[in-house]
Order: sequence, then C-alpha cells, then structure tokens
Amino acid sequence: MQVYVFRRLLNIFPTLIGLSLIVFLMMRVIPGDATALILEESPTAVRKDELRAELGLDKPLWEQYTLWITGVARGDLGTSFWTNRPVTEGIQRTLPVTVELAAIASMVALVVALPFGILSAVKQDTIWDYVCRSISIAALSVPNFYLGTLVIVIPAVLWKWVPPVTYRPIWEDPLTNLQQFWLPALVIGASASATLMRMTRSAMLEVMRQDYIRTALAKGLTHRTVVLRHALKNSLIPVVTVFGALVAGLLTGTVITESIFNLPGMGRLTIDAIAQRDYPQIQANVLLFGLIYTLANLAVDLSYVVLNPRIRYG
Amino acid sequence: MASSLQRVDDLAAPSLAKPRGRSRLRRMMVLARRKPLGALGAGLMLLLVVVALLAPLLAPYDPYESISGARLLSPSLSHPMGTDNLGRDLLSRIIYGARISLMIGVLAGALGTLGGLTVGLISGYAGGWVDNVIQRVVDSLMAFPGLILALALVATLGPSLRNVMIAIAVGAIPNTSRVIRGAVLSAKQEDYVSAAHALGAPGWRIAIFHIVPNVMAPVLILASVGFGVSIIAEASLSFLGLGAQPPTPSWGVMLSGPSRRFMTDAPWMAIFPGLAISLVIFGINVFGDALRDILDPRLRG
Repeated sequence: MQVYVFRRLLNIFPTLIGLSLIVFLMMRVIPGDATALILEESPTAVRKDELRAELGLDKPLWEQYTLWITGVARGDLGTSFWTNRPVTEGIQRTLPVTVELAAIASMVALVVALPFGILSAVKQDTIWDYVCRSISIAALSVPNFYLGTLVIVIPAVLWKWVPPVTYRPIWEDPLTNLQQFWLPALVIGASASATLMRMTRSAMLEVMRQDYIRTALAKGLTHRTVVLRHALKNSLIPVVTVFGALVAGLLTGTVITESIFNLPGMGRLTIDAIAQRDYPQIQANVLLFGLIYTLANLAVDLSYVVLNPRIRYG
Repeated sequence: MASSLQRVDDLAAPSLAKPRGRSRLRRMMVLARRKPLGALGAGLMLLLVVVALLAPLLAPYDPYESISGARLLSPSLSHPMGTDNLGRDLLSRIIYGARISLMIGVLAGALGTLGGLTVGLISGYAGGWVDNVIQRVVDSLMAFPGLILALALVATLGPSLRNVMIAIAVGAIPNTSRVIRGAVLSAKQEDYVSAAHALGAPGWRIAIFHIVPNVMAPVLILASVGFGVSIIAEASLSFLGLGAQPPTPSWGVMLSGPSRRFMTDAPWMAIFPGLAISLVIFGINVFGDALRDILDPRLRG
C-alpha cells in the first residue's frame, strides 16, 4: 500500500505540469494577443513592443513558460491588468468566501444525501423510495442558477425578504454572514446531495444483496444492526468516489451562486476577470481550480485504498 | 420480368409492411410500459424538438418585438406567460429559446461525442506511445471540472454562442474519449478483431468497421449525456453573460443580467424560462437513465 501511495503521489507531478501547460498555452492563443487590449484600455499609451517586452511576450514560448512556472513555484502568479496588484491578493481576499460556501454546501449535501439514500435503499420500491428518488431527480433537473434565482425571487415576492446584500466576513459578523451563506449553500447542496443520494442508494442496494448480509440476518441480528453495522460501512466505499465529482460540482456551483448572491468569492472574481479580460487573474484562478480538483481526486484515490483493504495496488 | 417483380412487390408491400410497423409500435409500447419515466423523458425531448422546429408557427408574437405599452404584464390570455421589462412576449421568447437549446444540445453534444470517439479510438486502437501521450494530455484536461474548462476556453475565445458551443464540445472530449478508449481496449481483444487482422484487413478498416460498431452502446449513452450537459452548460454560461448575448432569446440569457432587476416585481420573468430548462433537463435525465438500463444493463444503478 505504501508503494501505491508513493507512486500515486509521484504521479501527480506530470498531471500538474500538464495542467500548468494547458493554462499557460490557453492564455497565449488569445486571438490578437493581450497587449492590444491593454493598449486600448490604457490611458498612458506606451508603445506596443515596449509593453510586450515588459510582459515578457517577446521571449520564446518555452522561456516564457519557464519564467511563469518558476514564478508560480515561488508564489508569484503575476500582476492583475485591472488592479495592477499581484493576482494572489485577489485570491487571498476571495478564497475564504468560496471555502466557507463550499464547506457549508458539502455539509448540506452529506446531511441530506446519506440518510435519505439509505432510507431509499432499505425501503426499496416503497413510497419512501419513490419520494426520495423523485426529489433527487427533480433536484438534478433544476440547474443551480434557476434554483438560486427562485430562492431569491420567491421570498422577496411573498414576504418581502431578501438576504443581506453587503458581504460580512464570518469573524466580524457571524449572524449576517450566515444569513448570506445559508441560501447559496442550500442551492449548491441540493444538486450535490441528489447525486450523492443516488450513489448511496445504489451502493447500499448492491451491498444488501451480498451473502454476508443474508448471513447476518439469518443469525438473527436486527435489521437495524445489519444496515448500520454491516451494510453502511461497505456501501460507503463507492460513495467516496463521487466525492471527486462533488468537488467539481462545488467549484462550478460556487462560480454560479456567488454571481447570483453577490458574494465576493473566487467564482465572482473569475467571472469579473473574464469580463475585464484580466488574463493574469483568469490564468491564476483557473490554475487554482484545477489544482484543487486534482488534489481532491488524489484524496479520493488514496482514501479508496485505505477504506477498501481488499484492493491491493502493486 | 420487371412487371412480375413489380407485382410481387405490390403484393408483398401491404402484407409485410403493416405487421412490421405494428410490431415496432407494439415493441415501443411494451418498452414505454416497462419504463414509464423513460417514455415521459422521450416525450419531453420530442416536445422540445417539435417546439423548436415549429417555433414560427407556434409563437404568438415576434420574440424580439417590443410591444408598446406591454411592459411587465402579468400572465393573461393574450400573454400566457406575461411580458418582460422590454414588453416582449415571454411565451414567444421561450418557444424560440427551444431552438437555441436544441441546436446547442445537438451540435455541441455531437461534436463532443464525435471528438471523444475519434480521440478514444485512436488512443485505444493505436496503443503504445501514441496512447500514452494522448492519455497524459487527457489527464491534464480532466484536471479541470467541465464547466471551468469551458469557462477558460470562452475566456480566451470571447463570449458568443458559437464559441460557447466549441468550448462545451472541447470540454466534453477528455471524459468522453476516456470512456470510449476503455470500450475500444476491450473490443480489441475480441476474436472478430483477430479474425479481421488474420484476413489482412488494414488497421483503419478494423478500427472503423469492426470496432466502432461494437462501441456504439457507450457512444449512444455518452451522446445522450452530452446532449443534456451541453444544454445545461449553454444556459449556465449564457446566464453568466459569457454565452449568447441579449437580445437572443436563450433561456440562460432570459434569467440573467438586466432582467434580474425586474424579477421581484415580475416573478414570471424568472419562473417560466427556468421551468423550460428544468423540464428539458428532467426529460433528458430520465430518458438517459432508461437508455442506459436498456443498452447496458451492467451499468444499472
């Protein structure tokens, strides 16, 4: 197992290099490079070749990449075109918002998905099962930007209530902060829990068909003990694998809900950067999203080995 | 000779065609009874196609026309879904919006699936270093969640409906090609491939005529998934202002930007376009589930 873990950890480096190459190249194939855009916006008109030299765009591509990636390794991700400040400042400012949102959303997802997924499997083909499954299909069908719009519009129309507009950090004003976060977290959590619930249900059903469950029931153990002690533990293994997909959902979910709920997180920052054509900021954010997703998938792979001792990797 | 053939055809046609048609219908009825949700999904998708194709006949008004004195009207007989802040008939805009969703779903979905099939086929069939190189690139692309990849692509290409379509299709290729590569690898082991090889068939021929038909089940499933994913992705990106631009009646655009300010006064502006998207996605989801059960019982969950 240690060998596998070590190999898997080593394997992450080619992926990270590939990731950075893609982000790098993507920003270099912009039709009619970035300098034209800066010169258009800039009040103090500099000459194009000067600007190109300043941004390092006159160097050969491999040298640009080496410069950029060594900068990244040192924590220097470039300077924002828009604010003229290091892009890491923007990320430092917005990351806590996104992390908080994702954390609450995943709690919502887990709290909803696990019990109802189990209920749905244990009471298969009863009214409970149908209700749970219908709700999960419905939740999967409503895109989060629509759900987000509805949870703002409906309370506003019915009770004239809108969530507080100006963002307050949780350490300054926890009450206002939670008032701002619970709705968007619920919106992201809804679709995430639907996926997770379906997965829990099918994994649970699979396990309940196994011989050792029949044996346990035949021994005279109560249904409850069998479900909670024997089945649940084993059915959670495949559920862990959707965690990677869950993180993807959380990341894209935050991009959309932050825009709807006016929360100054990484997602909002990215969308604004795209609108302002702030390429260094876009580049940094996309790189960070990719990094988070890659690490989440690594965590999934590793936890899979820990959770399922039957799997041996040479 | 010719006339006797003609006569046989005449005789054969009614007696053969009718039962065949009836049995196909009966088979579909049996399937529909066994998978009622799947049939409902198919019905909803058919509805999308019909509405999209017949939009000019079905829409009571021009989707771009601002009717004077008709701003923010609540739903009524003359405007069943009300009007928006510019006095445009919402029902007509939603009907025309079906065209955009269908077009994106079909084109981006097909492009993504085709791209994935090509890459997966080359990677899986060629093997060796070709496979290795392609898979490392796919690894790197899969390090981004789909919508983020599409977002980054749109950021470089610039926001427009065409670029969104390209971005969605390209964003789908890594995942699709990975699944198809797996199917190709297992099909490659089959005896009929060795047989074709022994008969001296060239590699491309084996790949296209022997392997592709045998990986059609995952291809169809992926295409149905791609159709749905593309529709959601277009709506999401348009919603974020990165896809179709106003006044295009895309469902995502109708929920976005300037119209949001009016939604608390005119909730129908928010409810109906979203309802249209949700219904379509619901249809695709349940249809896709049924399709997966029928085509690949091993994947049943």
